[in-house]
Amino acid sequence: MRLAHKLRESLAGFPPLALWVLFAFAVVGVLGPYIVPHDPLKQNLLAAGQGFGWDHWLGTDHLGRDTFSRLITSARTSLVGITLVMAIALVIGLGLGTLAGYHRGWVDEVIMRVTDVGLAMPSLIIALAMIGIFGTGYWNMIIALALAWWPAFARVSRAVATTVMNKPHIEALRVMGASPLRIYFGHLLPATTGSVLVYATADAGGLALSIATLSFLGLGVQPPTPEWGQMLVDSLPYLESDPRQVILPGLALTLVVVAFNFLGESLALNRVPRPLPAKLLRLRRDEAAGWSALAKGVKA
Amino acid sequence: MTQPVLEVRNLVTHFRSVERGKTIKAVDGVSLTLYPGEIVGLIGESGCGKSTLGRSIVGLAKPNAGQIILDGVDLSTMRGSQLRKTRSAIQYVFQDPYSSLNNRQTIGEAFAEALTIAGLSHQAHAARMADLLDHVGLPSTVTTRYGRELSGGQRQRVAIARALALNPRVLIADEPVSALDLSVRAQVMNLFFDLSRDLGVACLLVAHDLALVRQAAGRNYVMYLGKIVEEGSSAQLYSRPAHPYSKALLASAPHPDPIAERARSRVPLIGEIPSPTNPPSGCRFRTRCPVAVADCALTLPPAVEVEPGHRAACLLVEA
Amino acid sequence: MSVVYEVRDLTVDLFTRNNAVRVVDGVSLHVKRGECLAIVGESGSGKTVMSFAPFGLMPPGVSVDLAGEITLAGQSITGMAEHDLVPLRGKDVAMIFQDPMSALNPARRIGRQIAEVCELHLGMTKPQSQARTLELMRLVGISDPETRLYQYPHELSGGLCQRVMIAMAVAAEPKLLIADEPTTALDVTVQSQILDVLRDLQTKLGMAIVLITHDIGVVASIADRVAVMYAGRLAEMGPVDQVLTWPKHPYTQALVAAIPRPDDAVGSPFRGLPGMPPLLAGPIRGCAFAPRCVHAFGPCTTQRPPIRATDAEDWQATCHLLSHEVEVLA
Repeated sequence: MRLAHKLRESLAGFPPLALWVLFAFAVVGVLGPYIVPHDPLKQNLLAAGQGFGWDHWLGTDHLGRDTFSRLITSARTSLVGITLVMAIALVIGLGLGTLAGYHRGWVDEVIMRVTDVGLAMPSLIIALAMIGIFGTGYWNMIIALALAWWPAFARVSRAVATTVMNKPHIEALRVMGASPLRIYFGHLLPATTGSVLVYATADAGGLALSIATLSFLGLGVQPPTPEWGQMLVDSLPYLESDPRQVILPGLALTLVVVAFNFLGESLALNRVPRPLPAKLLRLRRDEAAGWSALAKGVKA
Repeated sequence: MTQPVLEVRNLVTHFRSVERGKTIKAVDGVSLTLYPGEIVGLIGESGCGKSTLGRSIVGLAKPNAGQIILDGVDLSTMRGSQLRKTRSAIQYVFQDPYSSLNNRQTIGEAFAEALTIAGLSHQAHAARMADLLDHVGLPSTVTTRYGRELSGGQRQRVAIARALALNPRVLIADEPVSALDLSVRAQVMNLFFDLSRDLGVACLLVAHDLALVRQAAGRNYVMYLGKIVEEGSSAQLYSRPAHPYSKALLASAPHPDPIAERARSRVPLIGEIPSPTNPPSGCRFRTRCPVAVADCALTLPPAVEVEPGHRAACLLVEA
Repeated sequence: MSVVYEVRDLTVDLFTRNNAVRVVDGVSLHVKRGECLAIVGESGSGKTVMSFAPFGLMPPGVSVDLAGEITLAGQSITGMAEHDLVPLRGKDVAMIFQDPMSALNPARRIGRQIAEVCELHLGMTKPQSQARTLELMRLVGISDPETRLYQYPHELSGGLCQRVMIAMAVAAEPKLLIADEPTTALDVTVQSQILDVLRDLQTKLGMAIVLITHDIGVVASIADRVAVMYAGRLAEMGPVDQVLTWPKHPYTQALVAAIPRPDDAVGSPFRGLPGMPPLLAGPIRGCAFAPRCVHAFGPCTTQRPPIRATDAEDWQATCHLLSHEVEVLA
C-alpha cells in the first residue's frame, strides 16, 4: 500500500500515456514467450499473408508466421537489447566518468579527451564501423552499440561527479581522513548513479531506434529472431500489396521510441516548477480557510 | 608557555585563475600558531584568503609552500594513509550546515561512518555516539533522523559532534554561524567555549563578524589580501587596533544600538579589496589606506611588536 | 508626511503540493514619504514574502492567495492583475536584491542596462537616457562613470554591482524602494558605503524605503521605524530608537539581547533563544512565540494576542503582557 503510494508520488507529473506504453512494453518484453498465442517462428505457407482475423488477430506475414506473436517477441528482443547495451555502456561510462570526476588533473584530461573523440562521432557511425570490423551478429551489435553509447554517459557522470565532489559533505569526509575507496564507493558512486540512470532512461528511445536500424540494415538481430526493424525489412516487398505488414512493426517501434522521448522530455522539464493542479489548489485553499474560521471561533 | 598544537609557517596557496596565465594569490606567506584549548579568531573580508587558509590547513586546498606542524610533526613529510590519519586531528566545520551532511544518510549512519574512520569497533559505536551528542546538547533520538529534517542550528551541532568523533586537537570553523539565525547562533557559539575548555580543543574561528569573534576569541589574526596584517588579544585588537586596516574594519561595523550608531564616527574606507591576482606592491593595503606614504609601495612592512603579543605589519606603527 | 505604501490585515497563504502554509498572518503596516521602515525577522518569518507578494513577485509555479488591503501612492492595488502590476514595478515601486551579481544581465554592459530602465519608464530617447545614466551613476557614487558605462557586471566588484542595481532602481524616481537584504552579501567596509548611498538617496529623492534585513546593526544605522516579524505575524513595530533600546515584546527583547555587544566580556557566553519557530503549515492557536517565551502564561497558548498601542506614539506590540487586564511582569 505504502509502496504503491510512493510509486504514484514519484511518477506524478510524467505523461501518463507514455508511462502506460512503456509499462506495456516492459510487461510484454518480460512475459513475451509465455503469452504469445502462436509460435512466432512457425511457418505456415498455407496461411501466408492473412489479414486481421480470429485465428491470427493481426494476421500473418509472407511466410505465414503470426504477426501478433512476432511483435510481442520483438518487444522482448528490443528490451533485452536495450538493457544489455545500457548496462555495458553505464558500467564503462559511469566508471570512467566518476574516476575523472574524483581524480581531476591528468586522469580527468585523458579520460575526457577520449570521451570527446567518442562524442564527436555519431553513435550509429561508430556502431557501423565496429560491426564492419567485427562482423555482423547479435553480440557484436550489442558491443558495438555499447561502445558507441558510453561516451555520453561518461560525460554526464563526470559532470555530476565533480559537483558531488565539491559538496561539503564529501569534503567533510576527506577532512575526517576517509579512504579514497570509502569516498568513491560509499558516497560518490551512489550519488552519481541516480542522476545518470535518469539520463539513461531518457536516452533509451534513441537506443531502441538504433537497434531497429541496425537490424533493418541486416547488421544486427539476424533472422529468424523476430525484431521490429527486421520485420520491417522483411515485409518491405509487400508494402503496396499488404501495407499492414509494414505498418504494424513500424507502429510498435514508433510508440516505444516516442514514449521514451516524452519521458525524457518531462524528466528535463520536471526541474521547472509547475503551478498546482486546480483540484489540489482547491483542497489547500479549504485547508487554510479552516484556520481562519478556527481563529475566529477562538476569538469569539 | 605550553607547546603549540598547531603551527603554520609561511604558508602559500596559489590557484590558477580562470584568466589564462594568472594566479590567484589567495594565501601568500602566512604564519600562525594555535595553543591547546584556546579560541583564535581569523578575521577579514571576503577574498582576503581566510577560508583558503583554513582549507589549506586541513588539506582541502593544496598549499604551494610552507609548513603545517601539528604537535611538532611536519605534515609535509607525510603521504597517503599516514597523512590522512595524522591530519584527522584537525577537523573542519563548514559554513553551510545544509550541505555538510549527506542527505542519503541518517544522522546515526553519518556518525557510524565517522567512528569507523576513527577506528572504533562497532560495539563501541552506540556509547560513543550518545556521548558525542550529549556534548553538543542533542537528544540521542536524532540518530534515526535525516539531516534535512533538522533545523540549521541542530545540523551545525551535529556536524560539530561528528567532527569530535575523530578526537580532534584542532577545530577550524569557517563562518560556523553566518548561515544561522541570530537567536540560534548562541547554541553553536557557546559550544566552542565548551569544547576548548572541557576537551582542550584549539579552535580557529574564521569569520567576518567582528562582534562575534571579539567575544569568542582570546587571540585574533587580521588578514588582508593573503597576508596577516595584525595579531593580538581581543582586548588589544578591539580597543587599540594598530594597523590602519584593522582600524577601518572596526570603524565600519555598525553598532546595534541606534543612538550609539548615530554617534559613531564614520571613517569610510574608499574602494574595495583589490584583485588577489595582482596585489599592490609593498604593503597590500596601501591603495585604500588613509595614511599611506610613498615608502609603502616599496617595502613589504614587517610585523612590528606594538606591545607584548600585539603585532602589526605597518611601516607607520612604532614598536 | 503622506503615507506612500500601506497594507492592512495582509494575509498570504502559500500552497504547495504537500501542504498549505500561512506565510503572512494579518499584518498591517505603512511607510511614509522619506521614511525608512526596516522589517526584521529570522528566516521563515515571512518578511520577504510579505514585501514582494503584493506586487505579484513570487517564484514561478508558486500558488499564493492574498487577503487584505494594499495601497500604493493612494491607489489600491489589492487583487490587481499581473498586467496592471507590471507598469507599476520599476516606476512607482522598485526593488533591490541581496545578490546584485545575479540580478544583473551578465551579457550586457552596465550602462546599457541602466539606460534601458530610463527609456522604458521615462520614455527617454537614447541620448537622453545616456545623460541620465551618467547622472544616476554619479548619484550612487560610482567613480569614473564614463568608463564604467562600457563594463560588464563580471568586471565589477559586488559593491559596485549593488550600486548599479540601486541606480537602476531609482532611475524612475520611484515612490517606494524595497531593499531585500541589500548588504548581506557584502563586506562590512562596503556595507557601510552602500548604506550611506541609500541614506543619501532617501533624503535627495524623498523615497520611502522598506528594508528587509536580519541584521540589527543595519537597522540601527539606517531605519526610522522597525517592524519585527515572527512566524508570519507582526510582533512589534515602532520607532527604531525605542524598539531597539526598550523592546516591549519578549521576542524583540530576546532578539536584541542576542546581539553580541562591544561591552560583553571576552569569553563570556553568547545569549540566545531556546527552541525553534513554529511550523506554519497549520493553525497557530494563541501567540506564535508562546512556546519559546519566558513570560508565557494562561491566555498566551489559547488566545491570539491583540495589537496593543504602547505609551509612546506609533509604537505597538502584539503581546498579552501589554493588555490592560494583565499585570506586566517584565
